[in-house]
Amino acid sequence: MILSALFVSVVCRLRDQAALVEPLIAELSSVLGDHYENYEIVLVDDGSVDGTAAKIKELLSRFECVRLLRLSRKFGVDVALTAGLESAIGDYVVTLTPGMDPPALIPEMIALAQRDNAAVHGLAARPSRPLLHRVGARLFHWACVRLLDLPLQPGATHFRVLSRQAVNAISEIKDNYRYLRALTPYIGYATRTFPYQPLPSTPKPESLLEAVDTAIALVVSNSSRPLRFVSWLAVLASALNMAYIGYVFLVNVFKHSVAEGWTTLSVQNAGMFFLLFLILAVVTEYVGRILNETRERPLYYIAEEANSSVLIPGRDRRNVVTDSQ
Amino acid sequence: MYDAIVVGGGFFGCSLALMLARGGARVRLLERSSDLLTRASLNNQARVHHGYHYPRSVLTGLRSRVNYPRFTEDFSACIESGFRHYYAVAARQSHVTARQFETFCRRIESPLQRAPVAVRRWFNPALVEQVYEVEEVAFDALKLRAALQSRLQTAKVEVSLSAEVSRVVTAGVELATGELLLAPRVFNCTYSGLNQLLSRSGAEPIALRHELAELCIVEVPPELKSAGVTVMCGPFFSLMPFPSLQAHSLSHVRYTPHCAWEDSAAATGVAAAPRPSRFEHMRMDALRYLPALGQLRHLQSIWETKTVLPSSEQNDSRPILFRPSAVLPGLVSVMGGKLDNVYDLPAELERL
Ligand SMILES: Cc1cc2nc3c(=O)[nH]c(=O)nc-3n(C[C@H](O)[C@H](O)[C@H](O)COP(=O)(O)OP(=O)(O)OC[C@H]3O[C@@H](n4cnc5c(N)ncnc54)[C@H](O)[C@@H]3O)c2cc1C
Repeated sequence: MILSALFVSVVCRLRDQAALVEPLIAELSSVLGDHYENYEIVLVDDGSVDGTAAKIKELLSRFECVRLLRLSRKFGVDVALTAGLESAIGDYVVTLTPGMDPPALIPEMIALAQRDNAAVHGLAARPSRPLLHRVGARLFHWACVRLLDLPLQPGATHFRVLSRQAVNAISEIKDNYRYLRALTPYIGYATRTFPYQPLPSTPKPESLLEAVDTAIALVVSNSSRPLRFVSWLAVLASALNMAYIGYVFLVNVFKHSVAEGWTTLSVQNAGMFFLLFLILAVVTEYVGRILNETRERPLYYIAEEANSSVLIPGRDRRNVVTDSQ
Repeated sequence: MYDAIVVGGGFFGCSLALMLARGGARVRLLERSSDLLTRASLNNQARVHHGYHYPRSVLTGLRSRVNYPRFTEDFSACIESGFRHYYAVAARQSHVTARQFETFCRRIESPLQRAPVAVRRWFNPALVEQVYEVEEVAFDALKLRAALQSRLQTAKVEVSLSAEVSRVVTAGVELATGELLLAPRVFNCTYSGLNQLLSRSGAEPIALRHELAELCIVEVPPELKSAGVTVMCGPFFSLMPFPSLQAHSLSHVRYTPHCAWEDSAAATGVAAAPRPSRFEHMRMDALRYLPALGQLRHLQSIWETKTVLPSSEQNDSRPILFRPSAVLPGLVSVMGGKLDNVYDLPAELERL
């Protein structure tokens, strides 16, 4: 088989997955080695505490073209993958979730990316989730697309292929909160979807609570639409207030014994407070975000980098001679 | 009978032989190859260090800063200064920030200024925090060879080429031909071969780390012809004029070392098996930082063993090794991590 001259980088984020490391590297190496002249496997250790990094380092002497980036603590999937993207050098960079995305599909996805000159997004057939979770996810996606102008794909996973151009564009985005799922459509460029069947070893999906948390953060960092809604809400509230003032005025003019009004007063009060706090909540979210962005803290800290192809005499004697000429 | 025998005709062996001869000694210099300066002293980045490269080791930086004017004056005819040298500080994964780098340069008093806007445009602002123009020249190793040859001749050092030393004996050396040469002092200046010679002589080895280094000789686009670029300080690259071939050298902290090993009783020496070039890796990564590199042409790769002291790996320092043997009286091993270290030698010689 003729090897493609493409340079392919594969970026994986690992978190407490020591047992997975060896089969992962072995499978990636064999798939990539069979198809590409040049490749690299960039493993980002997201602050694991179970010895994942040590396990990888041990394997560096056995497998070629592997690089380890060890983050100083846990930063989360998106930041860890970003660290990998910013360090990858390939013409195409593939990100994947170990244990979930089958490495064997990489060549097919890259071929698609190449043919259509586009970014390719994997769409996983979703494992079953509780009803509430499913309905919530549906609603969220509907809201994102219809109301928030966020073109999210239901079922989109971290299994994607990005061209060098797209990777460069993503590294230029300086946001501290990043959700690659939302960033990749944001930078534009053509995209293609790639439906696939995830591996049986797929990690459990996040809980409903975690999902809601992610959803809020995702919306706030990628859309300013909610702020716009709040502005309209504020306008509406003031209009209602104006109307109420008119009402009070009229009552004053036409009625002479003004003893009632307790009901309207409390309803108006409660209504206004409701709106006020809603507005406050949304504004607070955004103010918090602005605060974090203006601090300009580094997105992540890399504690160390290690690469394969360290040769130790004795273990690999054939590469060593006793004469230097 | 000589006063001193120097084994190894690299930059350090030649310089040491000169120092001794100028002090009045009768010196014999033995080099295995058919010419002087054929190994590490020829196959390197040709950077005359002015301190900038070692922001994590103030001592090494400072020594370079002090030795720089001496080297450039001493070998003024071998200096290539017709280019501008830019140091870029990487935005991510760098061991120093732009501010720390500025502070460091101020401390060691090396001149530093921000690069003009036209130059900063060569770089990708997302990956490069700041770009500086520095004063740092390159040397031409072939001219260095010629200069040393004539100096050795003037100083009446007896130079033998194609003369391999097989071992050091008490008060002398034995050549591969079996010939025995006598001198009370023997200097082992064989760089990557230090331990080979020591072990064949029955002397105790030195803890050394070796790397098989690939230096890509390249042709750069016209606008970069008279520029050198070094990206600091971590797994980044360096693009330096390579005067002896009238081209540039491209090296990369991550990709230049193909393999590394430590000398042990079991194996010493070079990993000689030819390996596939990592030029593509270096080019792809360099392009990310310096899109102006555009079409970079690979002319050839130079392979050389780089030897470093394990102790200097952590903090990036490059001290000189000067070690008298405890077993063989009169035998001293000498190794410098960079050329300008040679000026730290006389003080050590005096102490002998
Ligand atoms: C890739 C690379 C990049 C570098 N970049 C720079 C740089 O930019 N700036 C800088 O200042 N320094 C740099 N250095 C370091 C610098 O090259 C060395 O510090 C310097 O060349 C060492 O000189 P030397 O004379 O000790 O070694 P060498 O030049 O290697 O000389 C050793 C000599 O000993 C001979 N020899 C070995 N065994 C025997 C024997 N048994 N008998 C007789 N002769 C023998 C060899 O043939 C050789 O000529 C670099 C080194 C490398 C490898």
